[in-house]
Amino acid sequence: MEGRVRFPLLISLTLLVSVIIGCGSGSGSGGDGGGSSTTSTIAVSWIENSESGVNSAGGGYKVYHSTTSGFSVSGAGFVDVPYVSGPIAPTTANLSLATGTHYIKVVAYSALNPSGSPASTQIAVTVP
Amino acid sequence: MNNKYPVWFLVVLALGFSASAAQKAAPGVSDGAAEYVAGELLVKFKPQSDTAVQGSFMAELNARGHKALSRSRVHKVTLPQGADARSVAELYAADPRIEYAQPNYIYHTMATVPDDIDYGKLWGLKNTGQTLASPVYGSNNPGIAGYDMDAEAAWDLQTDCRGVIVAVVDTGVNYTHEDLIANMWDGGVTYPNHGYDFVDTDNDPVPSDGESHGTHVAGTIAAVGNNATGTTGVCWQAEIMSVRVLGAGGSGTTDDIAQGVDFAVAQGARVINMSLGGGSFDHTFSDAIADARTAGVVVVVAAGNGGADGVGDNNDLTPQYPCSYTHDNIICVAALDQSYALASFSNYGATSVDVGAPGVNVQSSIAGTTTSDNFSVGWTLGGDWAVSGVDYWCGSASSLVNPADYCEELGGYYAPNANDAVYKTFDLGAAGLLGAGVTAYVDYYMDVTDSLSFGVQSTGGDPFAGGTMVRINSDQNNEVVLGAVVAYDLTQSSCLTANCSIGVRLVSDASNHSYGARVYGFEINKSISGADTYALYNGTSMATPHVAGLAAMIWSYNPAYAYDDVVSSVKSSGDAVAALYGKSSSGRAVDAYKALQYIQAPTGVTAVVVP
Repeated sequence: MEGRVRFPLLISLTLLVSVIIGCGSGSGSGGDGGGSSTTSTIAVSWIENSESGVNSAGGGYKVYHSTTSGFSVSGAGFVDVPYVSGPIAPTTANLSLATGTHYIKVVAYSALNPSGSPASTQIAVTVP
Repeated sequence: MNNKYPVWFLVVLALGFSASAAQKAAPGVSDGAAEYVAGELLVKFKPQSDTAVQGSFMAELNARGHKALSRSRVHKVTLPQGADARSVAELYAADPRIEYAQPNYIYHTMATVPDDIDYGKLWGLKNTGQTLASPVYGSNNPGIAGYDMDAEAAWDLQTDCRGVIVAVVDTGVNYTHEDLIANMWDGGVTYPNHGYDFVDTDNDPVPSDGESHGTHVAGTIAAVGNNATGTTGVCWQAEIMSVRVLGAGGSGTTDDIAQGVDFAVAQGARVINMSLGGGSFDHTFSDAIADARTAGVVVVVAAGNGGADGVGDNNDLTPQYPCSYTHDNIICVAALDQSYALASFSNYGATSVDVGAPGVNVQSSIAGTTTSDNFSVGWTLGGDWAVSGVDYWCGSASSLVNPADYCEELGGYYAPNANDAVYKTFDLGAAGLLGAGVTAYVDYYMDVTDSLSFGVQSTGGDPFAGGTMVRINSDQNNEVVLGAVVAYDLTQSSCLTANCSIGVRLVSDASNHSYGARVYGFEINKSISGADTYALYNGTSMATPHVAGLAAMIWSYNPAYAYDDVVSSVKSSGDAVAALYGKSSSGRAVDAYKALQYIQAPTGVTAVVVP
């Protein structure tokens, strides 16, 4: 019999994809084009990290948000806030979020540690 | 006819492969010889393989994708989930369509290795599974390769800790040592000897009693690195401040220790190493550490070595201080062996002890020499003093005994109306001798009206005829004491002469006697300029400076850190170690590279709707 059995791919080819959703006007992210709901601007801020790596090239923060309380940052939408110049990376970001309650966590990262710090304590904000 | 294994078979083989953590975008795998990116294959087609041939080759691999590199005819292929690149490469090695197939290998910066002669002994910084010759801790020697602080990877990032002064609050440091002198703190004209001595109340913290403990600790923190000499510290360059608060025998008191801490803080130390401890809560000491905290100083302390029986104790049950204080600027350190088991002598505590670090068979600088005396030569045996040590009560330890039958199970009392001195004359007049001390152990059964005394005489002869003496037994009670430590600073008693005689005297009256005394473990310790000696030591005292050096390194790398960031980084970033689980608050052994990599979680997050 000619040919060989083609492997039918029992192993799922579903890849874990890190979804980067454009959440707003933080630098480095794409817009999401809005939608039919009303969005408002949320100003997020945090205390600067003291690590040299966060506050130099390749460092910065990721501001994660979700509509689920207790969400895991892995796979959640985020706004990237990289270090640009000067003594520290920015410690503020603006998000465009739809009406409802949103939960936010911030992670700091560096060139040496791109996956970054443990997430900050979660906070909640309600968009009217 | 195609006889090759279909790709699905390779997938089954690869399922048992352990890939590294999924943190990186392209996780690497290792077959022990090389690291390569999981699921990626590099293929170079032969010139005659046109795009149709290339396409069918890719289809045969069940490639999920492929990309042509800028190198001619080389493609990077994304293999099916779970396929092992090395196996696929070997399978297609002879395929006529390609010149070669290979994994996409991973390359690293070469980790920085210093050229210090004895670097290979420093398993705590780099564990290659090396065997330490003439070890002082026998278990797990050799240990397990990789069980170390990962110093080499850290040194790629930071070797110089100058700017973060580390105070060694201890027995003093022989700062003349070849491998320390360049790393001693510059105290200017006020403190020209790199610190202060609170035991002798003078400006020179070199150990005048020959105690090497502090010198060894200092070397673990910051022996000069990469100077082709001796060892290296966690820091290659540093500023070590020597604060002497422990005297002969390694003992010190609250007043000296607290003042020593105050001095270190006042002179700008940001890390204090205290490889010392005791069993009582002490307001003065606690307050000194609290003041250090207010000044933003990190205090690294030893967990303790198990007390009299040398078996590690639970500090949560029997507190050891300063380890058991709760100030948050304290890091308390347990000792690990070469296989990262808890050292048998190491104290521990799920609440009070924070981290573990290497603490056995630690090679480092010492103050000079330690010479043991087994009483066989040069001793004048007066009265009933004799040399013994092969019988029941003395074991094999060579001992001076009075009466002569002390070691026998049914030995008798010492004689009434005795005035028995035993002594030996030592030459302590050599140039370069910076200090000397004598330590010995004494067991005794003495009546209160009888005396057992220790004496020294700088001009030789019987020390008790005009020399300096100190009583050993109580003049208040009859006493039975085993393992009493006698420690004497010979420099302070002006005995650094060519004829320093040292001895013991038993004096008895007519009434009420007891079994007598035994002297053993007699050592002369010398601090010597130019000796430049090294030794292996064990102890939580040795684990502690590994962490103090790391604290200085972290702070040098992250100058904007506050003391609590340094403490948090040390405690949070280390390697989870089974032996420390439930035995320390972090369950971790410190890891220098991970500590430099570590980032604290952001705080103070707020969000407001912008109107």
